[in-house]
Amino acid sequence: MLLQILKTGFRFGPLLFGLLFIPPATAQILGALDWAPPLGLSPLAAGFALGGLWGLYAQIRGSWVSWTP
Amino acid sequence: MAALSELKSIAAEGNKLLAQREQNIARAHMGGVPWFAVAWGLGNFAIWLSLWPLVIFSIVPVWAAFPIATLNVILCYLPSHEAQHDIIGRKGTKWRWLNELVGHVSTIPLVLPYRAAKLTHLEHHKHTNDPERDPDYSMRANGPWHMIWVSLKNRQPGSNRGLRGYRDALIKIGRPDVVVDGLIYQFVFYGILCALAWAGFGIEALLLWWLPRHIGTAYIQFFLSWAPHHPAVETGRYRNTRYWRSAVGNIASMGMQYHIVHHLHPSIPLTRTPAAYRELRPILEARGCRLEDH
Repeated sequence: MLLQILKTGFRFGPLLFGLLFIPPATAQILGALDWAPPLGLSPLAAGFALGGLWGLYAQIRGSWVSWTP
Repeated sequence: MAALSELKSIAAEGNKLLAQREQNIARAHMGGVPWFAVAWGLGNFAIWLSLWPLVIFSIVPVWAAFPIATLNVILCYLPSHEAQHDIIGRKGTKWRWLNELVGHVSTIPLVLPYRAAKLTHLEHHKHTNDPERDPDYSMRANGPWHMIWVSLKNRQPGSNRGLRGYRDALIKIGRPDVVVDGLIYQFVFYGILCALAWAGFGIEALLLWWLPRHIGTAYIQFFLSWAPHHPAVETGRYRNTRYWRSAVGNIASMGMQYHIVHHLHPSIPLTRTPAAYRELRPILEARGCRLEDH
């Protein structure tokens, strides 16, 4: 059971990282740099936009940094 | 015909003598507990761990802790590597617990489980440069910059090479149970990162663990997997690795200039490989080893 949960979690690893780590980390970085996100977004919303899109890309392509894994 | 047979006999005798000399030199450099490696492994981990409260309670600024954490991750593999070869304490000896402790603890910053590291590393020794059976073969690259790119690509979620190929290697040798160690380590690692980020310590998580781990992984793979075996085309005891001169020196390349000594005699502690190499050199020359002084 636990193994199955772990395996499922890793199947969606990039998306989860994009939604669970990148948003709060981005918000903190923006705050530390005193930068306002564009389009009137809150720092956390900007983080969700960045993390969600990048995580989705990595989830689909299998890579955060290139077109192919 | 008789002359040929005599020549073969002389060659075999010479070969035997050379092997005996090699063994005698190697044995002289083995034995004892490498306390330096023990202090290095446990001390390095303690320093890395201490960075967390120091940074979280604003005693040390995160920008100052980041290079220290990166150095900690770079340095964390080799003590475990000594343990993987049972150098600190063989099975059945009184220091076995210490061997296993160092093996398990020192690679925590790298998020590399000891059992997986050990089993795959021993496979690397058995099948060095074999495209099908060497778990580290996928670190092969055309040059230093290409290697850094290969290392980064191998760490991508869709990759089954590099550390991500260890899963297949473990299954291939009949140890799928050890794959679970890797899953648990990853789960805990990412769980801690996310928890820290939501608690307001995302930058700290990034600069004390996530980024140091990426830099450290590339550094370790560069000097331990790629450079000593490059171009990784030959197999065989005396040709699958080399002696080489690193542009950054022996310490910054983590003692890997003498990697050939390690492959020939894995029980020699890291700090004794330079001395062993100097004594073994005439034998290695006679064996046709790759001794690249330039």
